[in-house]
Amino acid sequence: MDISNSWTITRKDFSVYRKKKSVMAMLVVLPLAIGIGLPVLMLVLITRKFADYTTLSGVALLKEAATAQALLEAFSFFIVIIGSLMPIWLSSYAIVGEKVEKTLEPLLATPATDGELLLGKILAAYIPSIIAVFGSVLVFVVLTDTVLPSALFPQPFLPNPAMWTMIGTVIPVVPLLNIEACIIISSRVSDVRAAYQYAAITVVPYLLIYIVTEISSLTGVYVFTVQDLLIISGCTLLAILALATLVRRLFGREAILTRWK
Amino acid sequence: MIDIESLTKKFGELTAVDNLTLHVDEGECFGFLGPNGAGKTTTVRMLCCLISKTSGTAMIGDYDIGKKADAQKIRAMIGLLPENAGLYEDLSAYRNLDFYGRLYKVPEGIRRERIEYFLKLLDLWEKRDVTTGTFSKGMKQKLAIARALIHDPKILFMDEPTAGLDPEASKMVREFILDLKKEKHTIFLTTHNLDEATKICDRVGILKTKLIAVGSLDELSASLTGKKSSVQVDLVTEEIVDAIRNVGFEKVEVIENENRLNIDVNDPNTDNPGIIDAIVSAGGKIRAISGVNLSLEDIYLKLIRS
Repeated sequence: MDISNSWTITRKDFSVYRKKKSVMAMLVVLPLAIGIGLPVLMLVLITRKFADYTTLSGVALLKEAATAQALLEAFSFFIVIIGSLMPIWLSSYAIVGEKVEKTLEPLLATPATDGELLLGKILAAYIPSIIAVFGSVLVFVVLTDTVLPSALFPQPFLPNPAMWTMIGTVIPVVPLLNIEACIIISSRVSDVRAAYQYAAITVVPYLLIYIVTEISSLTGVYVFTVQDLLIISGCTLLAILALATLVRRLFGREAILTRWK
Repeated sequence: MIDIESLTKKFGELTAVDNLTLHVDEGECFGFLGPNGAGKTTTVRMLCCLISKTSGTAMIGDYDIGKKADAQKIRAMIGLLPENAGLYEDLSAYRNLDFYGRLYKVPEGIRRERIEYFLKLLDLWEKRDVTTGTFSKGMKQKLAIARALIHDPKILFMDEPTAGLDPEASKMVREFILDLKKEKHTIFLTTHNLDEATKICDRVGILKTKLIAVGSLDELSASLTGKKSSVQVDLVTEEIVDAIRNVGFEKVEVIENENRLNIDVNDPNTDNPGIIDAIVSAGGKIRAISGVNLSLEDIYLKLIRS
């Protein structure tokens, strides 16, 4: 495999993204909104309960701190949702966009192999998504540690072990699953928005996990652990491997030209 | 350069190309004609190693389209101009060519030179930094041709190169193809435009899933009409027709309103002097004598309808 061919395709897609306002907005505005919005929301929720936590002490303070931590853990997982939405948007453009603009045939006529083309497209969706998500994580962590009341969090709370696990295992793999889903869906639809909407189904499991953990943390039933994140990451990896063969088969020249709609 | 033997492509039960056998010489401009759905694009896609064949063989130069190891080499030595220009409309003309130059591994210095050469040749140099989305259809088609040539391919496959272009742009593209022909590029052109095929192609093949006919315009015409000499005289008379028949040419077709006689001959070079003598001896005055050739349109329609 000639990686330089894949990189040429990836760079070309980056150039195309730069011209698309919606893509740039998705890459910049959404991660920033989440990175800033979540700590602010957290602050609002905490201060609505008690305006001044310095008035609390002992068990009452510990209880409030535990609730706030659980809420924060659940909020952290929301970033995974962003990490799964962005690659869908990007790969919709990178693959269905080529189909819509009828640029696939000349591209397929080049000496680049199917694998090089596929890798180029995956990188084109993966790299900006990961950068944007990590950017969002950075803003979220810094802002959270800055704005949370020091009475509840005397030490910087983030990044905690759960956050490190998410950064190291969940965030890097989730976009790959979404890109695979988008490639599969791209073979059946001929519209960027439709591809995005259908592929967004892959976000649902993560959204459900988020909702469940949010509810359980607020009610104090259950708090996200490092082990849970590792399980999520492992399941995602298994799903990626399961879909890989199908993706490889669908992303062949003949399949694209004769079977893609 | 292109050797096709019994090439067949089936999509399930549907046979798109049936038992195609064809040879295209190096430096030849070959026109591939046929109605919609005849299998022209499928043939081009097979030859460009974009889709697999069902059976048969095809060699592009020394490489076999059926061998996976050869597919990449074939794609490196050919240029493809698909029916749709297929340019990246958010990128500039220069960036479009540069992208393909990189994928074809054209070294940077040569790539820059070739991009400049083609953009200047095609009158697009001033627009090199303009996004192609703003280009007219003719400009896009010109740029797509430059893209197909950026790596100096030995063989150029062109699918309907002038489809949808205005007459001026069509003429420009046609002239550019003729220039490529002079440079000894092998050109495989599919088209519906019979006038274009007549002007550009050395030989044509007519496809309707199967190859119906192949040859030069003269060969195809002769295969349909036989060899004929056409003589225009001042006035067609019974004496002239009888005189021609008396020297052994029984099949004489009289076109009275044109004062023309179409005569079946074995070889115009040896038979025409006898015909001329017979007409003159019968008192006829010859205005012109020529062979009878059908237009490509006549040939095409006859073959397709039959």
